[in-house]
Amino acid sequence: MECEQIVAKAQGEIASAQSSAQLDGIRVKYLGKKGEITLLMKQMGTLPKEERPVFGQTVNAARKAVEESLTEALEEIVKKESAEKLAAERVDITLPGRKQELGALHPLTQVYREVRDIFLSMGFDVNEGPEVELDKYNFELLNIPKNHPARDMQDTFYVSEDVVLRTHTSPVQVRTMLSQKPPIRMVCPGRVFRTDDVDATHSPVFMQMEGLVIGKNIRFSDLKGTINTFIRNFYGEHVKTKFRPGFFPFTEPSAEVDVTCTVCGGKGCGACKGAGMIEVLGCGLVNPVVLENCGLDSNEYSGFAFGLGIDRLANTKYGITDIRLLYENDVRFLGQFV
Amino acid sequence: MLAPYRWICDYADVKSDADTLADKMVMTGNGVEEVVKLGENIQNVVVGRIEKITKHPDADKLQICMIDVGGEDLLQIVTGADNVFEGAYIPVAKAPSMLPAGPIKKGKLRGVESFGMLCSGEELNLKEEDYPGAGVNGIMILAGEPAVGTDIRELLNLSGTVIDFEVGANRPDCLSMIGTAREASAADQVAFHLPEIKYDERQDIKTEDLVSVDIQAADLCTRYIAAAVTDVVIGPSPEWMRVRLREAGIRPINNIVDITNFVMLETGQPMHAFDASKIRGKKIVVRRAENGEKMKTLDDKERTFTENMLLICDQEGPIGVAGVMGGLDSEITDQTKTVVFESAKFMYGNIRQTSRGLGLSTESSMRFSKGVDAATTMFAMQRALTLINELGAGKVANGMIDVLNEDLKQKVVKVNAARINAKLGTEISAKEMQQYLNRVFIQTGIIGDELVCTIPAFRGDIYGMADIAEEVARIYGYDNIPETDALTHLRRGRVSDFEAKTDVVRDYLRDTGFFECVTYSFAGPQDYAKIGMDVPESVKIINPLGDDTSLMRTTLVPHMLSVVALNQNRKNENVQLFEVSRGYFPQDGEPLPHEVPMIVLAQAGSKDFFDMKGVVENIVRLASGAEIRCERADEPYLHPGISADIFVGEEKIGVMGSVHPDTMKLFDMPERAVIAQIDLEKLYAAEKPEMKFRALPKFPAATRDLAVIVDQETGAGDLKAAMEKAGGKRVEKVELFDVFSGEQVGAGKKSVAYAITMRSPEGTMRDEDVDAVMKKILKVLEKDFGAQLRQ
Repeated sequence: MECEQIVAKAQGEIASAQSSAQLDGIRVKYLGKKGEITLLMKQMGTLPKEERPVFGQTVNAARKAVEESLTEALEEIVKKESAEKLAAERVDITLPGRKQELGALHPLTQVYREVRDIFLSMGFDVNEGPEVELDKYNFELLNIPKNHPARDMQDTFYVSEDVVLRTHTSPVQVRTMLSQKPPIRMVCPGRVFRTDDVDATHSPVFMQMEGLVIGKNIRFSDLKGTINTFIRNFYGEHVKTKFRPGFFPFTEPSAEVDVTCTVCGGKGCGACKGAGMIEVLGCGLVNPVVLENCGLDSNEYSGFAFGLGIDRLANTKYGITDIRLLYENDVRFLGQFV
Repeated sequence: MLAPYRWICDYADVKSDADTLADKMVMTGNGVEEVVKLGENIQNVVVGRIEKITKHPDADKLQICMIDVGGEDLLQIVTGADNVFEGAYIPVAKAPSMLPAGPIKKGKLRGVESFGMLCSGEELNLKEEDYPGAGVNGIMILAGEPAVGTDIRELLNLSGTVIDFEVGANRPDCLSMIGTAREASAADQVAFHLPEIKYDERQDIKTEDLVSVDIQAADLCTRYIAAAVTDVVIGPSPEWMRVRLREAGIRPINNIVDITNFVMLETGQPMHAFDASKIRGKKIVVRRAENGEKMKTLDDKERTFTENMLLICDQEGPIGVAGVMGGLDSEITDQTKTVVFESAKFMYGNIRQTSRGLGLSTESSMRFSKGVDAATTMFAMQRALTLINELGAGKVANGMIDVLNEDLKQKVVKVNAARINAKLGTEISAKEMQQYLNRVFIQTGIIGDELVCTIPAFRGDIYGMADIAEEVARIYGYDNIPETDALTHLRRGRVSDFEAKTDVVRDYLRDTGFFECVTYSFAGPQDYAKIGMDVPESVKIINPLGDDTSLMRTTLVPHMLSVVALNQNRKNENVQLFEVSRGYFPQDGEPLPHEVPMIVLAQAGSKDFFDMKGVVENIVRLASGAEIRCERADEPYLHPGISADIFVGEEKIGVMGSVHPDTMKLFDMPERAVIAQIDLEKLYAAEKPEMKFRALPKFPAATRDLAVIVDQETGAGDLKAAMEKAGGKRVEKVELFDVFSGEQVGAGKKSVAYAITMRSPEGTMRDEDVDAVMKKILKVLEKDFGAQLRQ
């Protein structure tokens, strides 16, 4: 029968179609206004009445069969075409990304922020103070009178008899005690100055951060707890600390704190001179003389103070062996800390 | 301080070896720099005996020695020295061996094999004073008949161990072997004993017959002891003394000088020896110098004194700088027959000042500057006289002169044991505390809960409870003190406003590709010269490291330009840099300067003025929410046509621009750069408005373009500001989208085009309303700027 042949022919063409455009053509050819199957349907009027239902069903079935074949084929081809398009759009994913190149904060700033954030989380405020400072605040109130031997511990730049470049940030502690009522819990970061000639381990300008806690019944054991908490946060839980007796005129008792060498992990190496530990900070209970000098009753209040070198922490953290690199500002160096 | 291990052991029965002792000392508060094993630079050098010497066949000046070094065969060594002889005992470096100057290998000298080297004293780092015979020109001939094959370090005592202590400013008593041994006895828990004082005095001559003492500055000299020694025979001191001195880093000289040095190192009390015959008028006067007074010190340098310096004088003039250095003229010589020893206590602050004033620091001034105690002043003198006796160096005259101007009574400090525990966070019994304190020579009794501590004279650093607590803690062990937590974590700490804002600025710059720099806060006149400025009134450093770092800077620009140049010259291209730091400005009538926080920014290479301006705009926006306004700047280091003063409101907050080509040359910058400097104090003064939500617009905006022709000199920013003002509240945004000049607009003219966005909150704007706004704007431009509408 003609109808079946048409369907067979259409399906044959559908099967060999390569594109959705070809399928469109086939659709028009068979199902369009002048399509072969449409024309068949138009012949129905010429048939005897009793043949019409059967003929109609046959032609409709044929139409449906072709439509289904077309839909199926179209799905297939769309899938294929889409796959081809995607394949054609394939890129070399190893080409570099397009971006705003990143800069970097100075390693000293990065280390400072890390230290600061640990102390902020422990409730320490950050206080600042002048870098050109009164001798009185830098030394005298800190139990270092003029011509006291302890002055030799810190080689000082003088601006006048009574004004120095601060040799530590302790004067900020003094200013805080003079202006703020206990309880006090603060850190004071900043630049400090010593008359050291520049070499691999010395710099006349460097970054320090000190801290001060004043309250009632503050004990040496609290100092140990605070410092150890800081060190475990900064260097990691595995790091061991060692508190050694030390001397600072403004603290009594005083301690120097060593931590497991970050380079060798405690085995002993060049960086720690074989000791397995490196010195990172000094601390102690605030000397009652200092409390009294700053207007605090040493029978009522006690406290502790500590000081650490941000340069030193940066050097130990990043393994920098020459401090001069920190102040030279070659971007090939700075770019290592992105 | 260098403390030879064997010297410490003279006074403390130390059981630990040097390394262990050093560790224990560290944990009780005696810092250690290092433990030095001496003689490690001398290896495989032994005693040899020259058995036979023959002439070298091919060299007149060389000899071939056959040497017995204790082995089966004789060792053949070629030497150029001419003081060797058969039967001589000499130090032999057997190849391969090590000497301080380097390794010795076997070799051939003019065809004859040589299996090592014969050593001179110098090659073993020895001088005549260290070891008699070491100073000879040639090979060192060993005295006596030492066993061949003996390690030379053993024979000459070259292999001691020395602990280098870091002595705190509070413990001048530990600048001595006895003080160190006391600490060692406490650390190692062993017995301590002082050297015995025992000497004979001749009865026929008294010290006071030979010299008198007049203290005219009792405030600066609270004890002065003089003792005379007659019939002095100058000669070398014995080997045990020379070895100790050498290990402690002091060259032996002769018996008298060695005794003064030995006693100083042993007790911490500096001593001085005068040749009595040089003390004119037999009179020692201790007085302040007259301004401009002069004397030649032992180091053969003429010194000029000022009035607060303390001098030791005789009847006619100065013979020594008290506590610092003796005078050249009263020095001990080989001819000295009578010696006057001085042991005195000079006040530390004064000696420190004198030493600094003269730029002369000695072992003596270093100790006096830190403080000596009057009890040790006497002990040291007695010890010196004991050594005179022991060495047979002279006869001790009868009695001494002792001028004492201070109370020798020992301090007593009473402390409550419970308070010490409360301070340390410990639970140590009073009894234990007593033991710890006794171990450090603070004799302690207990009355109730109270410790009654008698402070020995050499512990001038102990005043009160805190000091006693430290003594208890360091012997108890810091390791044994628990970790506690008195801090509650109920609030997070706060940073200052300044720091919070600067954090935002820093982060923005980092994310934009800038690298943060840190440079020194110093400046020098040349920095200002290079940026074409006169040196401003500055904070001046009295003792700078150099002229180029003698001022505190008032600008960060020169440092930044140097950093830019450094990077450019190292081929780091297109760098973007910034630094946040302070400038220091002296203030009238104030002792301290005003310290102004500033930021300096630089972009090198391909970036131009407008890149920098964009960065500055963003910084200002982030920090204060404000917009900047630019006016032409007049900075000598900036391009006159490409630079601007930066304003926020009426306040000038900074400057930016392209670096002037002349400045580039001065800084050796191979490529261009733009730079900006902003006063952060002024920038942050403008409070950033609180962020508040505004409803989004309900009605659409209308946008119109407007292009006008104006004079080349007209500022596009000024036009924009005028348009915004003229347009009124309906104008939402005025955006520049095109600028050009050329023939079509005429010479000296330029065309600028803006997109103007207008909106009404009441409804969609009608065309006639939009046109009305545009007309107003154009009218103002025509009137104020002579603008011509471009068709």
